[in-house]
Amino acid sequence: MDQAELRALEERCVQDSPPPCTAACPARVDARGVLAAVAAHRFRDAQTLLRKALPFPRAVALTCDEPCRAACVRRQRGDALRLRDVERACWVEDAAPSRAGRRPPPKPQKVAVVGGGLCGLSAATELARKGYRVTLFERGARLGGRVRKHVSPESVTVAEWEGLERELASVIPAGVTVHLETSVAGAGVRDMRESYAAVVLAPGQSDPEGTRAAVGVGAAAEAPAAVVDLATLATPCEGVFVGGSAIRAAWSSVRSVADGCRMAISVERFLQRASLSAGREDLLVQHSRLPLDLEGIDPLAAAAPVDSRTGYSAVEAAREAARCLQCQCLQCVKACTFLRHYGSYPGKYVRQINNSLILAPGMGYRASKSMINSCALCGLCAEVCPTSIDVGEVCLDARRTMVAKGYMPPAVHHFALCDMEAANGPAFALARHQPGRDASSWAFLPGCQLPASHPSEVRAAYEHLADSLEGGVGFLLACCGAPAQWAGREDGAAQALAQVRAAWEDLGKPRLITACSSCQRLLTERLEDIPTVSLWEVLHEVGIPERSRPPLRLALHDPCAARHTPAVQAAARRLLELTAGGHVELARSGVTTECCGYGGLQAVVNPELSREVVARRVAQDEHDYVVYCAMCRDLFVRAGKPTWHLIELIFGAPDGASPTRLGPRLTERQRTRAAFKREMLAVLWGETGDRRDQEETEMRLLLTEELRDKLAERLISEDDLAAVIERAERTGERLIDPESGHLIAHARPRIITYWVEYSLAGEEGFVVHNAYSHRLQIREGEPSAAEGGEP
Amino acid sequence: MSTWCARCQVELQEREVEFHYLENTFTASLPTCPCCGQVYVSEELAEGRVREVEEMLEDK
Repeated sequence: MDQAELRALEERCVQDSPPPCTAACPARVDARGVLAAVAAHRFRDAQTLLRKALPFPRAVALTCDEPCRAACVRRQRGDALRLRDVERACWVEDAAPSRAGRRPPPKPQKVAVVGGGLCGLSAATELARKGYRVTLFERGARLGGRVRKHVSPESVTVAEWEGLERELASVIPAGVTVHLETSVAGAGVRDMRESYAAVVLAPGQSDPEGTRAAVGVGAAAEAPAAVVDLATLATPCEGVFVGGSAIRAAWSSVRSVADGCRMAISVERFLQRASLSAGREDLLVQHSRLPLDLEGIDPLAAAAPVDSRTGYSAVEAAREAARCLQCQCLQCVKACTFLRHYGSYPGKYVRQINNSLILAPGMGYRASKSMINSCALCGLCAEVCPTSIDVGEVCLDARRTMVAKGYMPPAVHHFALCDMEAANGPAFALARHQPGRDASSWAFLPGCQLPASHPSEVRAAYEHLADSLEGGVGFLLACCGAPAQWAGREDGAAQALAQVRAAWEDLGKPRLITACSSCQRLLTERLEDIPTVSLWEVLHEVGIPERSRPPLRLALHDPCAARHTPAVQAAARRLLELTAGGHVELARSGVTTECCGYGGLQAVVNPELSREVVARRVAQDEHDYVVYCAMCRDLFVRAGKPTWHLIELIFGAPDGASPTRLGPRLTERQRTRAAFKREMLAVLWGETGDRRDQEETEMRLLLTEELRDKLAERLISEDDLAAVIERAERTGERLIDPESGHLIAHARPRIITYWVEYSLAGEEGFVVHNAYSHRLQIREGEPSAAEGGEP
Repeated sequence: MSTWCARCQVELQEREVEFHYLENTFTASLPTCPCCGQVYVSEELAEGRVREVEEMLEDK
């Protein structure tokens, strides 16, 4: 993805878009922010937010016609928020210092403002703040216009009345020259254009003829609004702007203030010869892009102020403000532990990625790399997002960019890539026709993880397929390349896929039966000409062996890789019907299923986060789980959740399978794969190979189960331990801890340095007491250290 | 008692040691064999400060 694509994606995220109340407000008041502040009794903060949008916040708080109320989501669960009453309560307390503080240098241009109502006052104040020399003309004897018809000293408290008067008069200290009782008729406006650089018209409804003349509309039938650009309030007369009631159907104080502010911006742009309309397209949009999410929200009615003359007390206002739903999107963040973990939302994540990878590589945004590598790439975010943003796609693309540009630390995915390499090496990879056949219409590809977790079930499944299908069922052991693809290493993925393709061609291009959803997804995406079908669909088609098993009540977890394969999901459910007598659906299943914490190599890169992901998923239902992905099962069981793999229910020995049996650790995983291949070759094809040689070369290591667990978490395999000990014993390069007598040695077989603490156990082999690793490379003094793998 | 070099039969001594990672080079004082130059990185160091430095450099 290039910079523009990423920016477009960032803009597609609706989290930053205004909530319905703000979208409906002509002045774009941050109502959500104001209500949050008031609910927390932070009235000063609320004042600051109100002042930001409204130069006359007290006047609006007393007179607003509240367009926000019709849009308020709370209306659908009780009453709309009484924002005006809450705003009014904000000004009962002392006002925070106004934002007049920093004033730009005075500008030479003079601007005329016609009308001293809220619209004209707002325009005049904003222009004065920008440094222009502003003169305001008002026909009447007082400033304030229609506000004075709506508010009287009797309708509000004394303090409020005084505050309002002070606010309306504030244009004078702001630097505006005011001429009261000065009427400027239509022709006069034209003359004004001679002596003023720009003219703002806000005469209200008092002078329709004059307004028409001023903006250059001749016929009385034609309304000025018809010729005014509503986004910029520019008129056909250059440098003349009009707003407020003069062009609006009804008086609205917030509309008038908003128009005044809008005209001030237009005047500034006009005088700076900038585009009037650029970047203001959203000004006319009144609907929010945020999705409506009313789930779990109970109705709550509003309480009117006890005394309408005094309005809400601070406590009443805070209580009312607390009813605000604080509308946000965050659909994906609510659904995804990863997105929540990094404390933000996709719009910002995409911006960070764009900044750190494209705009300024190596310059800050340090959180990005670990974030990019921690995503499970599971696609759930895209399913729940109102605009279908797939953060996984962005992260995967960023990983590829990192690899291509050399920013990807090689150690991050090292373990998984080595495991993949081993699975595609001679210890595991295999392609054979069915015993006794020389052609294959089908070939079973169980993947690399399932044979390591469930070798006997995989063998039973293969024998069942061979018995049930016509035309010969070949057998194919390989890794599809998913780990490399997840790591952003396209060359590694392509190499693995090429290996699968070559084996498939050797077998005569049979239809591949995949047991693993990740294999199926990758092959479908990348090797389009290879026909694939899932094991579960085939088994549903050909039938499964008769088993008598008491019914089980299991909750079904779909693997994330099967998210978009409804046929596979349906087949798994029908097989569950046959084997367990039905199942329980999890709230998030099928297309909105969650990842188990392995996808995208999350468990390898960020084990802590992966554990959080697993913990959340396994807590979602009290029933034992059933899955049809080996990694899902093993991660859930390790987290203490009894979980079956569907293949156990179909092919497991009745007394052998157990939902609590732990899956293999990484060393066992590789050894089980190798043993599985040897056994399949020996039993089904009568080929006995180098089994004895293999066992003889294996170093005997004695470890406690606890240490095995610890090393599995540290991604240290027993082969790594053996490599270190072998080198230490051969070169004599060892340290000794005089207290325990343990030997300590290290080696760096590839890019990681392993340290092993061990003792000799004579014929028995070696007792391993501890091991750990680091990625830093030590530059040691002696040249002898380089022998037999770099230390 | 501190760690000994099993080959040279001498106690390790603190020496400046050079490290490399992701095109960065830096030094730290570590127990080192004064004869053969073997270095000792303890588990505490590897899982603590070394991990922090690695993460910092990886995220850079």
